[in-house]
Amino acid sequence: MRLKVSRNIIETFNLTKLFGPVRALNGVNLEVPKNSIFGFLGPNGSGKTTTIKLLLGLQKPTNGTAEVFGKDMVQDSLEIRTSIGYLAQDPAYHDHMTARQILNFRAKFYYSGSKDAIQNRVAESIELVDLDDKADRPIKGFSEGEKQRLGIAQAQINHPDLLILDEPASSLDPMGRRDVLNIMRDLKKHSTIFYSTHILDDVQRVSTHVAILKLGYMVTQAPIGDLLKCGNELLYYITVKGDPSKAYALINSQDWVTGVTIENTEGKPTLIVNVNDSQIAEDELLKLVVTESDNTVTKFGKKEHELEEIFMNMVEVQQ
Amino acid sequence: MSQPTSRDNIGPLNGLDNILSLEISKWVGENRWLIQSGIWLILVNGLMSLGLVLAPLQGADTPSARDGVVMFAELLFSIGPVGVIVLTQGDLINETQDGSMEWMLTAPLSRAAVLVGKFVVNSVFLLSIAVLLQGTVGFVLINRFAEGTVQLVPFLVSLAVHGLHLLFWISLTLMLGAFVKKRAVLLGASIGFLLFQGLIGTTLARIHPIFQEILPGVLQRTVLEIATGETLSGYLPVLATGAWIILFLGLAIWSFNRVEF
Repeated sequence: MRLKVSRNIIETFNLTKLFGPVRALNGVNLEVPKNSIFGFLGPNGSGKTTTIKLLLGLQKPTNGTAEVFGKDMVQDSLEIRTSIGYLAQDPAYHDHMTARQILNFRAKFYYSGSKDAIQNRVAESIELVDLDDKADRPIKGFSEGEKQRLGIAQAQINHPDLLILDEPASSLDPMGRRDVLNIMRDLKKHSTIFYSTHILDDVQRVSTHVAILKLGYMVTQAPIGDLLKCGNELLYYITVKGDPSKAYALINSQDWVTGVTIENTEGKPTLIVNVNDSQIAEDELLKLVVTESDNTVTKFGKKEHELEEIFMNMVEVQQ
Repeated sequence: MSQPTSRDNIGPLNGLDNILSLEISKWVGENRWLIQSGIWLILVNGLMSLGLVLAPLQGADTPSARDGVVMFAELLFSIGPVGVIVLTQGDLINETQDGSMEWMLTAPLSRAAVLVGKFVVNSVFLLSIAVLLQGTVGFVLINRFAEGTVQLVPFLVSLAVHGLHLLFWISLTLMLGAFVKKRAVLLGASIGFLLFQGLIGTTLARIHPIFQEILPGVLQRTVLEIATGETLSGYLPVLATGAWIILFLGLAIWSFNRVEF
């Protein structure tokens, strides 16, 4: 079954969830565009998993609503789940089954008809996550990494339009994380990927969009490119060898420059230049320093913030 | 390579066929059905055989066929509910606690299908093992060792009432599993009701005498009346037990639909 989707694959409207007196989620409005890899960030206890469980129909909202594929997440939960794949933070399966049996069991919720065709789909999924040699062993003895691979295999067995991953790489070593990110990139060809994480490096590497949640409140959501830009500021950096004072004076005298500061980057002076015209800056700035100062330029570029920096600022400001 | 066909119909029991396969695999996969058949044979027919065979050896009269039917009914009415409660108490709670239920419910699986699947498969296996198998062996043993014979058709009908009695306990345990999160609470409530249902019936009968006829323990009288060809004192216990089963299943589905994971 394929559900028709407009621009946003997930939309929440004032989504709120109370657990007794605890407000786990406070009026969250989320928009996840189709074909995005959407990183859902937040410190522990910020409401990421609660949001995911609400979207999957595992919990019911106290207030507000959400639409997935344009359908109501409470009323149409069964229909929505036909087109979703999900990997839990600590996935749990029936331990007595083998990986192939788990995938076969999962596949039968989505597919009917020829057993061979279902088996083929299971085999493709096993191959995708490189579990061929362990497919027929009971999963009792699987390592965390192998369980996570199995988790991804079962999550994508129905070629979902939306893949929801809750902390997909949190328990993995660096190689496991790399593999998971590669698989996510592969799956993006067919699915929108909505995933929660607190590993900001991964988010910056693969995500197209980001939302940050703090204590149940939405702090921000935006395309990652917009978020990494320095607000409305146009900033460039030039790292030089030697005394930067001449270069500093030269740059500061230009009428398209609105400010210059000097920072120390790995023992070398870096001039951070604030400009009012990015085109002129890109044409003139490097040329100016290279030709008219005594310095050798080792690095030059447009300055963007690191996601970690933005995340920490936003989360701390909210406190 | 051929592609599998997507399921297009979404219904209130979506995923039931898959749940039935899973539940059957739990009984068949590790020979649980075989082990349970052996245990029930020892507990029900083994004990009954002792009663039938030992009595003459100790100088007493050979038990009559009626005595055999009474023994069989008493054993199945006392061991049956305990066995059912023990075997099914963890069905919902274990899967909820270990996270596998949450995983299954993220697929297009309706919660009603989970309960119906568990009820149907557990009922088929438990009734086959505890009623059909024990009844068949019991019928042979009574006719072999007791004085006189038991008529086949009345005995078969009485087995159906035995089955209804066990269905009561299967549905009660399933319902409690949908309401509580701890097995100890479930065991306490169900075993407590088993032990005190006589007292509960007597107490409630002070409000209205009907209460003494609608609790499942009364079915033992019905079983004996049917198996021995006596006049049936009424259908109320049978109808009431059927109503309880439907009520428990309805409550189980209602409650399980509200469980949050």
